[in-house]
Amino acid sequence: MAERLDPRTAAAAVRAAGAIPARCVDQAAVNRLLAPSGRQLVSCTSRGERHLTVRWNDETAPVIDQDKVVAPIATRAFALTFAAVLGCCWTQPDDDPYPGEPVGVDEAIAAASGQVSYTWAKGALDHSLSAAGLVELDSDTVRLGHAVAAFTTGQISALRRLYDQLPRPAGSTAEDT
Amino acid sequence: MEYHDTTSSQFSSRLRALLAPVASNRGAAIDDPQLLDIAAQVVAAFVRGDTTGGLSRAQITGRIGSQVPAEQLETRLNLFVEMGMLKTFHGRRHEQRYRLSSISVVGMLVYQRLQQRGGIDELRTLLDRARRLLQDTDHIDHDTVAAEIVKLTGLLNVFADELELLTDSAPLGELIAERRMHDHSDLISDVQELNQLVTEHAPELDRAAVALIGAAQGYLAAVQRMVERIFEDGGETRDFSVLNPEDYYQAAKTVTVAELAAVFDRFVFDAASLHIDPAQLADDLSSSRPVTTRKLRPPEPPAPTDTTDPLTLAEQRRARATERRIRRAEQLLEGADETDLTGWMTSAGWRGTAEAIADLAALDTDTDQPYLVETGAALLVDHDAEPTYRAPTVLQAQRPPVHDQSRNIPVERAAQEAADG
Repeated sequence: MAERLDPRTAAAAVRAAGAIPARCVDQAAVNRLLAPSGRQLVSCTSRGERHLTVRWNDETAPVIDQDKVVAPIATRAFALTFAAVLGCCWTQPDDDPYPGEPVGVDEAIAAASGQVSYTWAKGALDHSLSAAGLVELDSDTVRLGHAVAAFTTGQISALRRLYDQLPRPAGSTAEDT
Repeated sequence: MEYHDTTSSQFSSRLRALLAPVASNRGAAIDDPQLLDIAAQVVAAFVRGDTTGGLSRAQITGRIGSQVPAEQLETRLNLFVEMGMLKTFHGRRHEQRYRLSSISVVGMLVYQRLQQRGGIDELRTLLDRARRLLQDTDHIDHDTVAAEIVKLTGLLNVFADELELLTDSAPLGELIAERRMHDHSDLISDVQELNQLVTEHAPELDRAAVALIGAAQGYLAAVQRMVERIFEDGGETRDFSVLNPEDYYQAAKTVTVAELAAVFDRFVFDAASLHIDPAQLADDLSSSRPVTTRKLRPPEPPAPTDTTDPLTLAEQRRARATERRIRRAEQLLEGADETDLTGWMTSAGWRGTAEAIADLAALDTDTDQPYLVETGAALLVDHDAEPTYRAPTVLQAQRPPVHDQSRNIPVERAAQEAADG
């Protein structure tokens, strides 16, 4: 995807792929296309390159209702593993969680070990959480993924309230940050 | 009996057309299909149980139950009695028990078929009758068969013309409802069979039979054109009601993957996502370990430097605000010592007025500044203007007298002396 995409294709591609390299996108033109549906492009980084992903505006973000499922909702094991990654990577509670700091995969799994087994945590990192863009795995490190960059301010505020409950590696506490 | 196969307006127009030959005025037919439901329920009340000795109005009403509002039912029952659908049991005038007219029951069947099948069944009945006449090879009544074939040909032409017009002008929803009444895949084979019988048993009617085939083909072509428009318009609007659920089921089983995938050529799908619900996450976290009561300290503000003394900054901000307010006041005064702001407010609008009054009020309370704002007790209301409510407002500036530098007297006095000579 080296060439610049026409805005309509880019708008479709960024929705379908989750994030696409910023160099392929005329950001202003795509934002104009996304604006009527209450969405906008935001920057993120993937594999060291600047990417763009789509974020809902707070006023237009869909309400996920457990009774009327419109999006898969993370199961307890997946959610707790993500919480552990978030606790490890989100070092400054006053800042947004994204991009945060990369941490070792072992460190993140250790943080999750109080809540979920090693197998579940490893499986969640390798598959569901990676596929959903919530985390990005390198060889032995994990960082927050583009889907976290797309969190609305409402979601971030809710997570900030949980900040001191997020699992962290042994010996590290919320107060250390 | 429920009438969901056609739209309400379609049904009303059909009913009017059906009654036209026997109607005395254009309002003879009902407009609301629900009224036909009431008639159907009255018929059902008679069919449902014992009717020995007839049914009283109370029995009819009781059997119908509360599905129909009592007043509406009473009105319809009166009409049914007047028009002979309900007859007194022994034909005496003041009897209180009624029986149902068999003609009305047959009529209900016709209306029902009209509603559900749109009259096309009559065409099949005619076809069957013509075939039966030709199969009775010993006594073929050629004149009757010829008349039936001509009638069939004419009927097919009428249907075809009507469909052509609908295809050109009707909205998609009406076409979809209409299409369900023209599903006659075996019509052409029936017509061909009739044609074969004509060739075998009444060859002199061949010309009429060929015309019948032509009419059947014309009718089917009209149906095909209607279906094409439905698919075209329905495809453009992604209207999934274009096909019956059975059609989708069949398509899923019989067409290729590529053909199925083509439906989504122009669809955009969002990437796979996994929703993290913070409320659920909080529950999960608290249930997996004791909730910590540690509180985070608020972030420490950046240390002040020598150049950013907060009091100095606040004083600077205040001075800038006062300067801005004075500029605004002088702009309004335009050099005068006093100005009436009441008229100006309508040109400034609500927001401009509110901002200006807030600034001027701040100047008024500032004892270092010579500005005063006087607000009258009257209330001016103008519902077309913004702001709607105004009070007469005057801005004054109590300026210190300016002195004549050479003589050290106020300028006004110097001017007066010069005028006096």
